Amino acid sequence: MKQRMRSIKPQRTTSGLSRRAFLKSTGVGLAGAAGVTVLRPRISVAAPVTLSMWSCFPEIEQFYKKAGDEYAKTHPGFKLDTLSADIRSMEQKIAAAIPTDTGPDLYDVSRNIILSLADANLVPPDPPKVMGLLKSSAFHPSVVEFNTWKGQVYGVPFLEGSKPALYYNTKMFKEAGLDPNKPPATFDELLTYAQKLTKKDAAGNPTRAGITLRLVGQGSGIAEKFWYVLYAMGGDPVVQTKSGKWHNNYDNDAGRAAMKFYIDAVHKYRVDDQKLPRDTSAFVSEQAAMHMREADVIGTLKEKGPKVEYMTAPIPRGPKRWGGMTQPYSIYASKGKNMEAAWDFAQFLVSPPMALKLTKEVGWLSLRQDVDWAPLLKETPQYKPFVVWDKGRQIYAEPLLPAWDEIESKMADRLVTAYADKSLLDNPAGIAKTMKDIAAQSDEILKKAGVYGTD
Amino acid sequence: MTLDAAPPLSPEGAAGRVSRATTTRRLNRLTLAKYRFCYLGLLPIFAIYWVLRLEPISRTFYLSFHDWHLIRPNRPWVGLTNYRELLDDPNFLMALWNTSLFAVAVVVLSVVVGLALSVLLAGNLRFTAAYQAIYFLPVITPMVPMAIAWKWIFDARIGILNYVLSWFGVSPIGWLTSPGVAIWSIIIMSVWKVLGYNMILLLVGLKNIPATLYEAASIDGAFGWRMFWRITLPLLRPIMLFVIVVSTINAYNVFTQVYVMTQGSQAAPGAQLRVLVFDIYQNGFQFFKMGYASAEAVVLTLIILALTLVQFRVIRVDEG
Repeated sequence: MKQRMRSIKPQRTTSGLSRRAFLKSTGVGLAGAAGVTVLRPRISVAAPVTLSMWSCFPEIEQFYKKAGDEYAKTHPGFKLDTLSADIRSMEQKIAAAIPTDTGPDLYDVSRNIILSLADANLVPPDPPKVMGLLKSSAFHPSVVEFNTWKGQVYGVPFLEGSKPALYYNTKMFKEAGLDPNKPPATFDELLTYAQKLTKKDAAGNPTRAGITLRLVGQGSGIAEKFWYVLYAMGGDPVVQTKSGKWHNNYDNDAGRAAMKFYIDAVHKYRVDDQKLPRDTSAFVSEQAAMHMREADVIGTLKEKGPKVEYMTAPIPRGPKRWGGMTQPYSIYASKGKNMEAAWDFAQFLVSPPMALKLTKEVGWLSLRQDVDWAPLLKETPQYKPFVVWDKGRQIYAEPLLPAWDEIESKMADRLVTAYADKSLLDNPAGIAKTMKDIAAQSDEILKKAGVYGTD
Repeated sequence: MTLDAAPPLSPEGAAGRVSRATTTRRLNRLTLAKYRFCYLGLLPIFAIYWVLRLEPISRTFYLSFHDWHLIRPNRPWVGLTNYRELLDDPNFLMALWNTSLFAVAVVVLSVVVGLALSVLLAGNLRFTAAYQAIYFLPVITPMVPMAIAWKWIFDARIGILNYVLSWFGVSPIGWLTSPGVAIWSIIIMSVWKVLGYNMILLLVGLKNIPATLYEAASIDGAFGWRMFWRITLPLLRPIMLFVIVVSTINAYNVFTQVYVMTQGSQAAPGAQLRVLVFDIYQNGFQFFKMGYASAEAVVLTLIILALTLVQFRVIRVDEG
């Protein structure tokens, strides 16, 4: 009996494809995928990283955000969350958050609290890759030294926080018969110029300051500005002995001379007054002819006083010294799973293109010394005294002292009281006693910190 | 005479006694249940109070005996060292002086002026409600924006206060920058802020004095000041005590307006306006000396406690 051969029809899947066709297409697909995997360039797809960054410079927050977007172009999946507050508030946040592991991945903050965090082993020292950058020609050795505490280097130097210059209104100079190309070179000349630039009412009260000094308010900034004058006179708030101890260095002729400068300016020549508007806002609104401040004022003037005609010059010389302060602010990474990514981003933030961008957009100066400032100087020549350092002009920095903020803040409080004391005018004995009392307070703080010594 | 033994209970009497015993037991259970319910109901709020008030207070007390730095891990016991250092600290002593001067001035001015206003408003004035609302408005306004507004009012060059004074030939005063004047500027601002609160409380006290007493006094020939001294003031004692105690506590805790007005380069001199709470804040959160700041906080608490007890003693209300 013949068996009817049943024709073998192709079995169809539910999609309508035959099994053979399905298997064929799957095989082709797999082969294609394998080929792509083999043939495509070896680009590592980084796992998405979100870094949190806290800053004590609210005006720089936008720069950080833009930098984050720029970085994300070459690091897909990268995201940056930022938070900013004024410096004191941010110091408090950092001090509370870091010890409790609730802090950010990255933060910029003054060195003041880093010393305490380092002592408590709460901030990691720089890894080898970052050290390579710091030891290269990118940064001046003094900057690396500034970031060194007990043999370890912390942070990536980011911006120059304190280097000051003298700002002066060239239009007011011309009106007063002064040559705008010859700014005051010494503190004596500064007072002379200030007298010519001051405007007074019929009763002799200043209505426009010849120079706006930091006379009121509170905060360590007052002492910092006093130090511009004190340094020139040959003194410092504190000085370290050979044995590594510290004591005051202004209960002396230098301190008395610096205080005399302020007392004469306010009460004798009346080139400034506590009742007048002051500081950057006074200079920007043209209610002061001269002003000593950091580079960020250039950014403020661009934004709020574009019509102000001004130039800058180095801080004047004193009878003993000529110098400018430096206070590097660095970016620090926190310990944690994102530490490596944080260090990488920190190095990106201080790369030469970003360094130039920082200064152009915000006004603060980068700490890199290998940046070509020529284009910036062509556009804004007022940056010259900040980036071109004259021969013979020295640099000084805040001392490496955990108690420094307390010394400076309390010194500031006493200085403000002294500036307002008319009885100190032409009163050398009174000035001497005042400086002695303020210096005694500084020494007392050093004693309590266990670092006081005179030998 | 023999004492009769208790007569045997009738079945009805026995049943009644059983019923009363049962009722008593039920009542005890009920009372217990009520107490339990009350305490359970209070437990959550007590827990919150413990966490937010009692625990921080006891912790502060504990910290005050240590050299407790916010960041450094080493926090040794130092006993009374922090308290001894306070006595030699010129900043603390200045803050104590400034705060005490501030408190006395604000309490005296706000109570006296508040009392005067409440006496005026207790009379038959038109638009009394409107006046009350106007005086109470600063009380409900947040302190920070008000402090900023007053900073501008006090500005030596463009402040409205100096502008108005210039109409009378007064030369510009550095309200926030002149030594000795700055603290009074803060006092003026603070009195303005609390005046309405004291006025309302004293007004309530005045309205609660029975009119019949005044009628009786007037029949006896008492008028004006005599009536005020003999009737009004003595009967206002309970409210006065409350107002003075609360005002003193608030005044000693002054911080916000001082902090706002001394911030920035165009601000009041920090040293001359140093107050206790600001000193505590600076020591604790700027210099991170938590142990020292805690000792200061304990001292402040003891000062306020002592003043409160003194006020209770002096202004005590004789009962009966």
